[in-house]
Amino acid sequence: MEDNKTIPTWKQYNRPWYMRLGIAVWDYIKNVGLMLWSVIKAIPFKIWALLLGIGHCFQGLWFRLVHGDWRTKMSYLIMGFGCFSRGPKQFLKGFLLFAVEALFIVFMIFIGGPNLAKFGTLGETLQRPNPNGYGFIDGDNSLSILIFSVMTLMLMVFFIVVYIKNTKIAYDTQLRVEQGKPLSTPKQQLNYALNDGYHITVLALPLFGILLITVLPLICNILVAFTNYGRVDGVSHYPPAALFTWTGFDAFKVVFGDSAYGAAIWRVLGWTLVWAVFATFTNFFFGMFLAMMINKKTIKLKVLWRTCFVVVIAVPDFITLLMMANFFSYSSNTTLTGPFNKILQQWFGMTDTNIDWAGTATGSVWRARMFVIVINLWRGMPYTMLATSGILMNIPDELYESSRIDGAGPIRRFVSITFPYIMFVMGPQLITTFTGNINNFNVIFFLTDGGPTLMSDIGQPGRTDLLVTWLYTLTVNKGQYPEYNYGAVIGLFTFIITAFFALIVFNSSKSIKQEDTFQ
Amino acid sequence: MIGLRSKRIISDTAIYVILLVMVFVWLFPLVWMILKAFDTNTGISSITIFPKEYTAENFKLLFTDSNNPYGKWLINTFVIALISCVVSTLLILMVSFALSRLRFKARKKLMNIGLILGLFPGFLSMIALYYMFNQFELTDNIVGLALAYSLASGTGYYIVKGFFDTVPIAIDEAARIDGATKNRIFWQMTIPLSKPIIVYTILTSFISPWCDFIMASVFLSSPNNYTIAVGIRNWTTQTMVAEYFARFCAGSVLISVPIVILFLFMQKFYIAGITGGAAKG
Repeated sequence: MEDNKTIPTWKQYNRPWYMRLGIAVWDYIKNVGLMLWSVIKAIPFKIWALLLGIGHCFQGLWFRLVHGDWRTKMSYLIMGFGCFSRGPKQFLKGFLLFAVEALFIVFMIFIGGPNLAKFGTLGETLQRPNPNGYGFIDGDNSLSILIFSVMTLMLMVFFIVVYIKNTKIAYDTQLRVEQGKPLSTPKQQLNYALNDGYHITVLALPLFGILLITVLPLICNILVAFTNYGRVDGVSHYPPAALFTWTGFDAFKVVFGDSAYGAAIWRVLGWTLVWAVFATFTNFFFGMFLAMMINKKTIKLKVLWRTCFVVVIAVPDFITLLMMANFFSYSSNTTLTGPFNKILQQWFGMTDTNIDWAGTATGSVWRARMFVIVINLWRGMPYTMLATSGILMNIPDELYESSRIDGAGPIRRFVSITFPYIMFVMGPQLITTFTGNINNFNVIFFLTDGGPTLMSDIGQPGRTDLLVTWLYTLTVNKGQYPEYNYGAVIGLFTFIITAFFALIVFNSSKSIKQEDTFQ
Repeated sequence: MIGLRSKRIISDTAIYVILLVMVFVWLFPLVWMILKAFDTNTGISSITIFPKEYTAENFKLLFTDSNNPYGKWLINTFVIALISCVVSTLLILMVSFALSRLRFKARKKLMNIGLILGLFPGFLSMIALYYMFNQFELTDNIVGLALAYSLASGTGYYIVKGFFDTVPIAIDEAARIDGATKNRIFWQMTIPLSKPIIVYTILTSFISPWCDFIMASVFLSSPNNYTIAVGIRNWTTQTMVAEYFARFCAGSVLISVPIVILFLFMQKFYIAGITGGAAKG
């Protein structure tokens, strides 16, 4: 009886197949819920561990200050002192540490300090006309203050880490001297960079890039959500001509409150999720069936069939999408309507057919939504087909043979072998695709550009706009008055929703790995 | 009673018919686009489905129309792709090596953070990024765009790391005993042993700038600096499409052919990336 517990419920063959499928899906959702809960439960502990770690660092800092000799103590003021004051062998190491300190101080004096001092207000001096003639005398630039302040804060964290490391190095060097051990030579130090410390050497540049290009701008854009960077109540706040400042949660109140945006955001979120579900699952199921057809043992020319579909995804997607938008285009003049309507007219004899398939010109919401989902199927299905083909080829034949001997029909074989096997490999991928679809900018932007915008939607996003295309419209595409603050709120909102699903991916893939169902 | 054999023939025939119909539906728009590229009627509107007369004029105009310097865009995109592919490949290889072959304290944490960062679209941070690059006069500049594409590419280590994981660690250990540094193992052992995945990384990072529109459209403002995507996208705007659609098709066909060939060449890696990533981790 004990063994029965370890067999998943959907494997109990005495139930009808649709029930087993239902149970499998339900188990999956339940597992995801449990994982999510365990993540949330762990957060307080993680924070506590972090605080403990920081406390430990300062404790060590204090300990080394008390027990260090004068050279070590000097290292607290002049970084690297504990190294270069102990002889030429340690010059290079000490000099590098000192260079970090010197550069940091110079940076703080000229860039970090001035910007950080204005971080509280994001600047107060407006630019003013130059009394001597044309042009302006520069005032404060709120955006520049914001970005450089965040950069300074990140550098400060980096500096503190190096600083603590510096005291450690100084103290260790002192201990070596006291114990009469030889100090490391520059050659040994270089050897450290190529051996035991090689992870630092190879990761330094990539991490620098990620922090600079991804993390720093991301933090800045999140902070913009708490400012009035945009046009608020008819007043512009665009640097350098004007300043913007912290406004707390005002932008959130506008986006989620009683305004044109507040009226639209849940509608947009709803459609974003509906879109993501349909886009993900239509692609998944149709792609899976396509792959199963192509991979059926008796079907010939497998590579040729596969290649025909792969060609569609090989063409850059902005090309295929723009081309499809035009392929299905519509003109009020029946004889000049797009190629697809022409095909219906000339090949299928529907002579008066003139349908606005994309729904944008005639304001048909449902046609527009069907259109993006169907074209996305055309565009995305080959990806699933390709991935599933790889999986299908890996399913051991013995599984099928023994099930055939047991008298299982094709449906039972699919539900009990093929589908669980595919889900095992594709499950985590499925949620990644889902989060990708939440942020699927290209399909919407190139096919409908968020349209149709109904008469009742003036000043609001269109009916196929996703959160991410709405964000684009508000910030990049708004012409004279971009609303960066509201855009940032929507961006943050998208971020949280994506993070929610990202967390699921992250944990489900981990736990699925631990299960050895198929290995 | 239908025999097993005839049953199989029926089902196979059904599958062939379905596949044929699907291939037709999937490929027809592309075929139509290729034919349209040779159309003498350059707008989107026409009386017939296929062009009435064919000409190579659209392709010629790509390189002769000085208001729409397609040739210049081609070179721009090529330079961007080249820079971005060198930088990305190096960064990805370095990160993958560190995460796969080296053991250090923050390894798991870095992997987790990298995975989560990779899930967010770069688009969210674009405004601040644009401003930062603007400060250093790197906007409206193809080198700047190439750096924006490639500097943060370390987050895309997943597939390469998976490949490195499959190279036996015993080789590294043997080399260590013989006195090789980790640096030397990386350059002289891991990299030569990983040629296929390096080719894959080079190809993907070379192709991605050809496909990107958003970032390029935000960063580039003068027509002489456009990439292909930004340039030919203008030909499909409402005002231009009535006159330039055939040229859009011609420009698309011209860059799609090499990209399709490269993609077909690397599809097996794509499959390995998806299926292998989940099973091995």
